Amino acid sequence: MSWSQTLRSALESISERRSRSALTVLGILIGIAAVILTVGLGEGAQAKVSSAISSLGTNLLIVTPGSTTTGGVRGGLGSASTLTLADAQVLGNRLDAPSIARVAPVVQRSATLVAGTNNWTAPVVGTTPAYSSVRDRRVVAGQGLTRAEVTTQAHDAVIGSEVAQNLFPGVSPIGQTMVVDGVPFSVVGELNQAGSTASANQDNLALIPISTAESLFGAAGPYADSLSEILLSARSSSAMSAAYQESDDLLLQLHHITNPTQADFTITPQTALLSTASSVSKTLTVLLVGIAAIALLVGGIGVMNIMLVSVSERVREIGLRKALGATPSVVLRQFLFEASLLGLAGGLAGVVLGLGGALALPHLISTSIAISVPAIVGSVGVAAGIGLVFGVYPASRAARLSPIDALRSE
Amino acid sequence: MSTPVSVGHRGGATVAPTLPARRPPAPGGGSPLLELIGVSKTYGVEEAAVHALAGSDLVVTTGEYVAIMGQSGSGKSTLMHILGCLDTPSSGTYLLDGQDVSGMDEAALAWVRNHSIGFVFQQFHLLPRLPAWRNVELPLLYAGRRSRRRRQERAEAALAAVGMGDRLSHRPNQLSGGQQQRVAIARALVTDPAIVLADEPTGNLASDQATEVLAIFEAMHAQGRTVVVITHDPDVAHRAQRLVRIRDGRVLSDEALAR
Repeated sequence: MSWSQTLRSALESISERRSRSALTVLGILIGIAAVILTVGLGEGAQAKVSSAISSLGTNLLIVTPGSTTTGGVRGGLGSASTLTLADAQVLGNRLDAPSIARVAPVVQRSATLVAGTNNWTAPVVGTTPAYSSVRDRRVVAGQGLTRAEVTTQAHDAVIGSEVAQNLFPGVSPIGQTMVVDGVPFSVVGELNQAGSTASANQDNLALIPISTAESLFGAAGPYADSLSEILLSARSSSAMSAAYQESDDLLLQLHHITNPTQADFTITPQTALLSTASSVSKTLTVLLVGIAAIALLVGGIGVMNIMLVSVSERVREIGLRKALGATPSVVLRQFLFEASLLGLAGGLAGVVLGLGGALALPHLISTSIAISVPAIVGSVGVAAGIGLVFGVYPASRAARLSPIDALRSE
Repeated sequence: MSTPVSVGHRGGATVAPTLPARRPPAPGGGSPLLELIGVSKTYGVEEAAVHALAGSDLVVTTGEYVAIMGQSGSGKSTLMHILGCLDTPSSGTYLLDGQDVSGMDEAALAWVRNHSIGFVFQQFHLLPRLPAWRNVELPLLYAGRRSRRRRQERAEAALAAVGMGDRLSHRPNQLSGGQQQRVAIARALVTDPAIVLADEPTGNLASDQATEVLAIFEAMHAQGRTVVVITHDPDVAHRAQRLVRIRDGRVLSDEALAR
């Protein structure tokens, strides 16, 4: 019996049991659609996180006050501010830290910004001109902070797009005045849009000269000149680990710490954020795909079930076909065909449903779903394969049936 | 089953076997087509063993019309299965057209069944979803005939030969029992097999339909086809040319019949 005849015969047999076949197909369909959606969700989340993190800046290292120890004991140090401008100046020294390209010290506090009748709360970031290059930001209107402004404690500000929209709706913010904690600032520039990460909205901020910030926030006491963080950029991505080492050594030295485990600061490379985030989303993807795989397994068992029922219903037919000259391998092939066709049909229908879901879901919930071609092609193959694998047992039972027993059964 | 069963058919042994048949059975005359030599079949093992056939010898020559008769449990079904290559003997030799088929594997037996044997069953065994011609086509499919058009032509010719040329596309449930059995006969003939094996072919038919079917068997025989009919109905058995009686797994008698 040729392949096309076998195919035809399998199609006929499936269409004879239309509603049961449809239910079996449904089992596979749900599994496949689940695979496509979960893989798409996982990849979408991963892409989103990756782009958000790389938008933080190129070759970025973030030095924050506090301990690297995440256990309970040393957690209290995280609240202490131990980084100073002096630290930043040393890190910016090319002789001491040749792998570090730029250094941007940051003093940050949330403040209420007022312009005319509009007011808006945003983080006010006191920093130096190096900030925009370290964080990979651009000034799209007006100009950025200058060294002169830092020196003269100028009351100038560069604002993010969200601040601009809220304080100066519909007008250019450049040259406008806004009041920060009662002190007037003139807006000299606007930053490009950078979107938001899970932790921070990068468009909701106002940059002011660090010297101005220190006098504005002006807290007295032992931490008067302390920094919120120091942003460093390495000369290149290959210099990241050298830059990390240099800054670690210098800060330990500056802080008179001999035991590195006692460090009162934390250095986080941007790549670490990236790999942490992507490993989190990978774990999530694996989990989701695992669940989808279980759904597929259940679908496969459904195929086996219907095929076993089909074999026992058709014992006489199988016996007759054998009496008429069907060899065991022909019978085997026909049942395997049927099972794989059920799987394939489920796979194709699942792809349709999965694609529909991938296109529709982002409109319903705020999520991004990547349409993964390998996942689609793979899942159709897997579906047919599942039909095939779970069809082996029923098909071999059919093939082994003795024609006399089969003909005799009523 | 509403079969009109004749009672007392064991008394059939008294039928005078002396008159010459229209086509005399000729042991040694035609070439032996089916040859059973000391064939036995045992089911089960040791104490539970059932000897369905116990060393039977039987020769059927080309062109014969043989009836095999016996009660249920006599071993006639087992004999039919072995003759039809549906089962293999436990011991002994079965030569089909000179070829030893007793040790063949399933695939080889399937080939032999497809090419050399046409089956007619009591329950017709038609596939209910397929129209008549596609039922008749089945053996050609398993014979590997590629051309769909040729298969259909041959199936239709076979149906026409049994008087079913006007029912090609009817499904089995649209046909009477006699018509269904004629479709089954067409299916048996479509590969032009050396032998047609019929197992109680009229067992499920009303008497007028049974008569039609038996007439077809006679016509097949007249065309030189070898026909073996297994039955417990003496009326059916006596339409044949030769009568073999089976009892307790052995050949009890073997006689030529007068017509």
